[in-house]
Amino acid sequence: MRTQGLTIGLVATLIAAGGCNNQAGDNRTAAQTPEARKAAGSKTIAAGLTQDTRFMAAAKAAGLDQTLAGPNPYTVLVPDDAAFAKAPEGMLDTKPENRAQLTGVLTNLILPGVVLAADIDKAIERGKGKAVFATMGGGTLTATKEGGKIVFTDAKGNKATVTRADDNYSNGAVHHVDAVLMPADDAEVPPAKAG
Amino acid sequence: MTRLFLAAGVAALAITMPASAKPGGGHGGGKDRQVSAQERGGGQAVKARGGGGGKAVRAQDRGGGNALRMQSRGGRQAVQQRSFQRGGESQRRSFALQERGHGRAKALADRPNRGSMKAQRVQQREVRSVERGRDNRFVQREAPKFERQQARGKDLDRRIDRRFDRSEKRIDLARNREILRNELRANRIERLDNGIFVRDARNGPRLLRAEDFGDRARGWGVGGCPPGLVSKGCMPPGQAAKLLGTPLSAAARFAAFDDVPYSIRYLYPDTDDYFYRFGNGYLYRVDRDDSLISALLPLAFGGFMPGSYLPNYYMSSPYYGMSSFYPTSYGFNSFYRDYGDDCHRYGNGVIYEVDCFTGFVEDAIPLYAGGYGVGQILPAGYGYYNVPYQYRSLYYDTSDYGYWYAPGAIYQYDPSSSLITSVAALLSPGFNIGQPLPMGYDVYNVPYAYRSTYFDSPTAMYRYNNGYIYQVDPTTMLVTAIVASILT
Repeated sequence: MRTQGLTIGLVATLIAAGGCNNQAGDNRTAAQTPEARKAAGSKTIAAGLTQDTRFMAAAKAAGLDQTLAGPNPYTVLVPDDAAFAKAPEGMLDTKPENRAQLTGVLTNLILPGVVLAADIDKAIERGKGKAVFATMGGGTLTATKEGGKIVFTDAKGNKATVTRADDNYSNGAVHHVDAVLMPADDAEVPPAKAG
Repeated sequence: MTRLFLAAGVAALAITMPASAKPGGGHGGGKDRQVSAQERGGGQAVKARGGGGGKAVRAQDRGGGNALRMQSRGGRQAVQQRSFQRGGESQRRSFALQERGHGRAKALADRPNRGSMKAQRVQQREVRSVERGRDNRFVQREAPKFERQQARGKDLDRRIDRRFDRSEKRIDLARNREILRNELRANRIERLDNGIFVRDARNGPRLLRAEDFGDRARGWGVGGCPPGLVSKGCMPPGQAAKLLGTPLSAAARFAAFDDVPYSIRYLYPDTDDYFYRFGNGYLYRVDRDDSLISALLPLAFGGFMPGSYLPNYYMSSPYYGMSSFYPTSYGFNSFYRDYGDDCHRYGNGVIYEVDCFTGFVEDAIPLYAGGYGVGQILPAGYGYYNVPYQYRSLYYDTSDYGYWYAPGAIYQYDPSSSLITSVAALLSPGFNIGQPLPMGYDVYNVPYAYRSTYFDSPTAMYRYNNGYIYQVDPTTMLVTAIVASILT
């Protein structure tokens, strides 16, 4: 009888402690509101993007389609097919031997976290006309406002204008751009010279 | 018969003495035996009670009268036991009674004497039987001892035999070993005389022919490959380049070819013009028209294994040096500094730790950003699980896929072939508490689900990086805390 009483008391204490932990520690539960989930949508970036585009073909060749299907949040600047056509010849080739270079280009178009157009605007305002973004490739992009549109500039001076912003997915956001932004020269990898 | 008389005597005593007998609780249960003698006043009384077969004997002297009370409640057994006790007490009691000159008491006192004699006989009988038992036990005890001694003797004999056998065997083995050694020595001398390269591996003497390796018979390990990478497919780049334009069968001499593993076949699809074969750390593209190797793709370390030599243009050109190092923001330049003879060169997504003068590759550290990624082979020494803590619940090893962390990314690889099948996650370097917010993170980037909780205000800013949401002080722009881990 006495043991039973002790056990019940212990269980009650544990439940109470667990309740306290839930309230105090798990920020995720508190933060994920139904509205937030609805806004994010149910599709991932990899599933939501049109599959037969050159960007997706390049992402698959570089193995990045799995990355964009994962739970980590990213913001992707997606050049349209016309932009791919304008890129230097061979630069975005999906051949296996070109994979290193292709990966370097694509990771330069991916930003950590979720950055919406409004956030970019605010950052530009705060930065007195420009904002710098770190990319997953280790480089940086600079955002400015030109004619009311957001324009990204890469290290080489190539510019890409955001044509459609804020495509929201469960694991991030996508902004469509009209040009391919390149990584810095030192980021370019020399071709493999075996022997 | 004697017992019967004794019982009758006791019964008679019990009948003749009832008047003076006092009812007393027969507390003699069990094996308790109490002897108490109390003297009160000048009188003496002896009271003996044997209740319930017990052994309690109490002698009490009360008042001035002499009385001997015996109550026999336990029947025969109690009487026997009582008579058994007479050796000391009863005799003493009877003598005391005789001295007082009570005729009745004297008559009674004789009986215990007879009883005591009988008891002595019983005792003697018992002693005899006990001694007999002891004799038997002695025999019983001694017999196994004797057997054991016999067995021990046999064991000793056997042991001596075995020792002798062993020493004989040892001598034989030593002889054989000597013979074998002489044979090997003779063989070695013969082969050296014939100009054939001999190599002794750690696991025992192995005789290998130099001509079997050609140019590969130099450097570290077999063919210049570190021992662990031989099975993974290791071929020095110089040798690999020579295979271009040769039939696949010629390359088969150096590599065990296999089909491209299914998990990465989408990365190397066969076409109408060519097909791929995989082996020895390289991917061979074979032209279907002439069946010649038209391209070689290094799948491991960009083609330069530890134990091989970096070409001169890697060593001398600043293009390949650390100054050209791609992911500067990751801080690798400061981490991998040149010192003494130890230099670092970067190429094909790999940092090579090399000897500054010879270009000898001592180590290769794969990096993601330069293109080390899908379709490449995971080095043999990198098969252990090293995924950062906050990603472990998402990316854990299974029988189908393994996960490997390298700076900038978590890779998914096929455990059977060690080929990287995809990039599971791209990782940024992360922040340290107390550091200034790095350039490029000025923009608010908290994921949707957390925006209602962590939004920028005049007192606090929030930034997402590497699985965590960090709090930043807007005044000092220092990272002050990790407020949420969104992946665990």
